[in-house]
Parts: sequence; C-alpha cells; structure tokens
Amino acid sequence: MPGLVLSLRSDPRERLDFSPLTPAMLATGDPLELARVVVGTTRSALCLGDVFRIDQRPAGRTIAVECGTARIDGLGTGLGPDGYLIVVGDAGDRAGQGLRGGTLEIRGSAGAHLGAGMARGLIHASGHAGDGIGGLLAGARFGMTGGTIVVGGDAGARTGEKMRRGTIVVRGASGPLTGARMLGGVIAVEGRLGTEAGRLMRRGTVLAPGGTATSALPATFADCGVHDLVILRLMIRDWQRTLGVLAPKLATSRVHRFAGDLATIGKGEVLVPVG
Amino acid sequence: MSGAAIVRNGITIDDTFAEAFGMSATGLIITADSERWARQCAITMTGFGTSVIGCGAECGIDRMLSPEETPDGRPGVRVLMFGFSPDALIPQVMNRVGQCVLTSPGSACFAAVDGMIRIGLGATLRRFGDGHQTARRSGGKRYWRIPVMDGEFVCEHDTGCTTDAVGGGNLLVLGRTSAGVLAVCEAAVDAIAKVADVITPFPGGIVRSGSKVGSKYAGMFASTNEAFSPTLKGAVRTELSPDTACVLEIVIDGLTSKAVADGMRAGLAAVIAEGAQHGVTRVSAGNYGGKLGAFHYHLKELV
Repeated sequence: MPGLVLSLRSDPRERLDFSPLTPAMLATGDPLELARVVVGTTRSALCLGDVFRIDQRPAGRTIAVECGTARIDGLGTGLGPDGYLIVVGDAGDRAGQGLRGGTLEIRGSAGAHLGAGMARGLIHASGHAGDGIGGLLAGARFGMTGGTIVVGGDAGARTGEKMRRGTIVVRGASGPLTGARMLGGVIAVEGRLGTEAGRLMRRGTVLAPGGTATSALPATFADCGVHDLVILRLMIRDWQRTLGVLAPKLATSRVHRFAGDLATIGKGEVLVPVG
Repeated sequence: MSGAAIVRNGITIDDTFAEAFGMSATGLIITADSERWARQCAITMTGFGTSVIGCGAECGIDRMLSPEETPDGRPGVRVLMFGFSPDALIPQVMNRVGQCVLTSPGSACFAAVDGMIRIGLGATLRRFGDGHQTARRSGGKRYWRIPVMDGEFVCEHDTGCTTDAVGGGNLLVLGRTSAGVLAVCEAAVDAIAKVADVITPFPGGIVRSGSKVGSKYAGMFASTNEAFSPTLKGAVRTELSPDTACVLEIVIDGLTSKAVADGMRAGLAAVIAEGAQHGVTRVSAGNYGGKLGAFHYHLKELV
C-alpha cells in the first residue's frame, strides 16, 4: 500500500464520514479514484477531493490526515494489519471502529465510540476521548474483542461497555459506567475512576491506579480485601514489553479487590492498587 | 568394548557407545515468592521420576531461573518431563502439577516448551476452582486464575510437547573406591547441569543399580547387571578388572539428540579432569548391541 497524505483545504461545512474509505480502497492508492469517494453527509455529496488535497507517497505505508477536525467521523474504519494512519489534529466519532490491525495514531482528541468493535491493533489518542471508547455500536452484540486503546487524557462515559477482550488505558479520569456490562479484557484508568464502574459486568478487570471511592462502585460489588496478585505481575510485564511508554503506569501488584457485579455472575473485578 | 580403548589423563575410555531412545518431552516453569519455594516445589514435582519403566515419566530440574527470566518476575525453576509418548505424559503432567505445584505455597506454573502438540495445564486444573476460576489472556497466552487459600494459583492454559527428545544417554564410571567414584560422578552431574535442555533424572543424577533387560524370574522386566557388579566379579562373567570396586552410572535425557550429546560430552570431560585423583580407572557406556535404541553416542567421539 503506497503512502498518502490528505491535507485539509478548508474547514468542512458539514460532518464528514470517512468510513467509505475502506482499506481495500486505500490500498489502490490512486489519488484520482480516492478523490471521487463521497465523504459528505448532506445532499451536497462532498467528495474527498473537494475537502482534501491528496498527495501520494510512493515509499512507506503511512496514511496521514493533516489538520484533522472533530467533524470527521469514521477515520481508520476497518484498518488492516499493515495499516498505519496518523491524524494530525482531532478526530470525530467512531474513529478506528472495527479496526482489524495496524495503528491509528490521533495527535489530538477523539469523539465518541473510539475503537468501537475493534478486534486487533493499536489506537493511541494523545488528547481526550468521548463516550463509549472500545464499546459497542447500535445493533452490535459486543464491544471491542481485542487490541489496545490508549487515551492520553480523560474518557467519557461507558468506556469499554460490553468489551470481550483487549486493553483500554485511560491516562486521565473516566466518566461514569466505565466497564459497564463488560465481558472480558482490561480497562486501566490512571485518573479518577468514574461512578458506577463495572455496572453489570460479568468478567474482566477494571484497574484504578488513580483510586476510587468505595461508595462510587455499585452496591453489588463485594470487598474481597487486599492481595498481591501474580496475574498482575504477568500483565505488567506484558504491557511493558508490548506497549513500552504507552503501558499503564502500575507500580505494584498489590491491590484492593472488589468482585462483581454480583447482580450477574460476578466474575469481574475492580482492582485498586494500594501502597 | 568392541575396539581399541583410548586413555585420557590416566583413564581408559572404552571404544563403545551409549544407546538411547526417542522420547516425548514437555517442560514447565515453576515460580514462587522465593527461590527456596520454587526449588522445593520443583523437587517435589519431579520426585519419583527416575525411569519411565516404573515411574511413568523421567523428570528433573533443567535449571534455576532468575526473576528476569520468568513470566511473572519471580524466582523460578525450569523442569523437564520425558515419557514414551505425548499421551503418556498427559496424566503425569496433570497429577504432578495438581498434587505438587498447585499445593505448594505461592506457586505459579507456565509452559517451558513450544510445540504444536499441547498438554493441558490450567485447561484441566482450572476445575479445582469449582466455578470460581477465571481466565485471563495476556501476551497472546491464556492463563487461569484459580482461587486457593493463599491467594490465587496462576497457571498457563497448556504447555508444548516435543517428540524429538532423547532419553537414555549414559556414562558408566568405574574406579577403585566408592567414595572416589561418587565424588567424580557428582562433579560430572554438576557439569551436565550447566548444559541447556538436559536432565539427569536419577537421585542426584547418579544410578548405582544399572540393569540388564530381563530376569530369571517371570514378570521382571529388568534385573541387576551382574557383569558390572563388583561383588560378583569373581563369580560371574564380568566386565570389570580386578581393581574395580565401584561402578556408577549417569543417565541423561535431553530435548534433542544434540543436547544429550552435549551433556555426555560435558560429563565425560569432568570425569577425565577429576577422575584420576579419585581413583577412577575407566569410563564405559551402556547399550543393547545397538539394536533397540535409535541414538548411539560413541564415547570416542565425545572426548
């Protein structure tokens, strides 16, 4: 796949939807063909070429979207294992939805549903992110089923809702209902964990190095005491090996364990590291 | 002896070979909060694992692992297990891990051998959790967390099994005194322990009851090798010279034929270096005429 640079000509007058830019289409790398792809969301039927200047880079596989804006939705939809998409600026909703591999790097903030339904790959947003990170889109059975999402700032509500596998790292604080209806995987929130975390979760782990008030957890979570968990040692080493500087900052495997949600099968947990 | 022996450092090296057999093998990493408990767990788990004939598997410690070398960053031990086939290893792994690793304070258990053939670890033992166990995927591997009385027993889902392993590499060390031969064999076992992917499964790595196939008694598969028994050397057809008072054997199993050869080479070098001063006079090897085992290790080629 040849490299591409999409440079924003001027601020779009409407929301743009990049989800039609499939990996197969990008693989052709033909600027003329790409310029005809409709990305507008109104009757004006704006094409990619109307909004962006498209430059081909024969060497390299990186696609760069320069001067991204929060009005562009669906960036990196279905990106494959060889893909590398850099967004310089903000991204709109559903960035990295259904990611199948590769890397989506957002040098700014992201909207709602970042990485919703993704299966593999890495999404790194250096700024904040909206609601439903790694969660599920309307009509879907599950949220993300693999891969890693790292958010440099705060996250909105329902982070990781119904996720099955994978890892979400939030450097800042998370909104309410983090890990709601979770089925597996790990969410690490380094800032303050939002209220009602893990509501109706069945399995999975919510890590809260930034701490949380016990009263902020659902009443259907059980205090299981403080433990040094070997599994956390494994996870910390794996994160450090695979994510490097993006790994969750967790200095200890000694945690206060809250098991839940006992309103379901109760095999999930909220872990709060202690001294 | 089939040809002209050679002499090294005053010790006669027989012109013979060790006859070894193709085996299946698997490996585990056992970790614990301290080296003491990792070692204790490994010693217990590999106990009664000297010979496939009577024990079901040949087991031993390959080497100690530093915290940097283990999956969970704690002190660990790599143990190897050898059996006739992967199927024969399955109950051995399950019983030994279930009874000796799961039960040991602070232990965790991980795969230590790759391979397409897999042998269940947590896949089977998870049921001990009685429904409270949970799975966790990390680094592309699946682990089971089984609640136990000191916290959680973490166990990898399965481990690999190789069918390229070799069991039965051996050295026979002959000398004038029991104490001298034992001291030299201890040095040889220490040297073999530094070789990767091999174990010496007998007590302390040393066998004093070398056997021959068959017996005068019905139902006995093996019996004492009287040709190498010093107390019978005047009464039976013996392989021993008049001044030989003791014979000890070192048996070596390895994940590959090369590992066994390397182990024998290291052991032989130690015997040659240390032997003369302790009264060792000769080194030989056990075989069955070359008709049973597919792997032959000629001593002359290992000197």
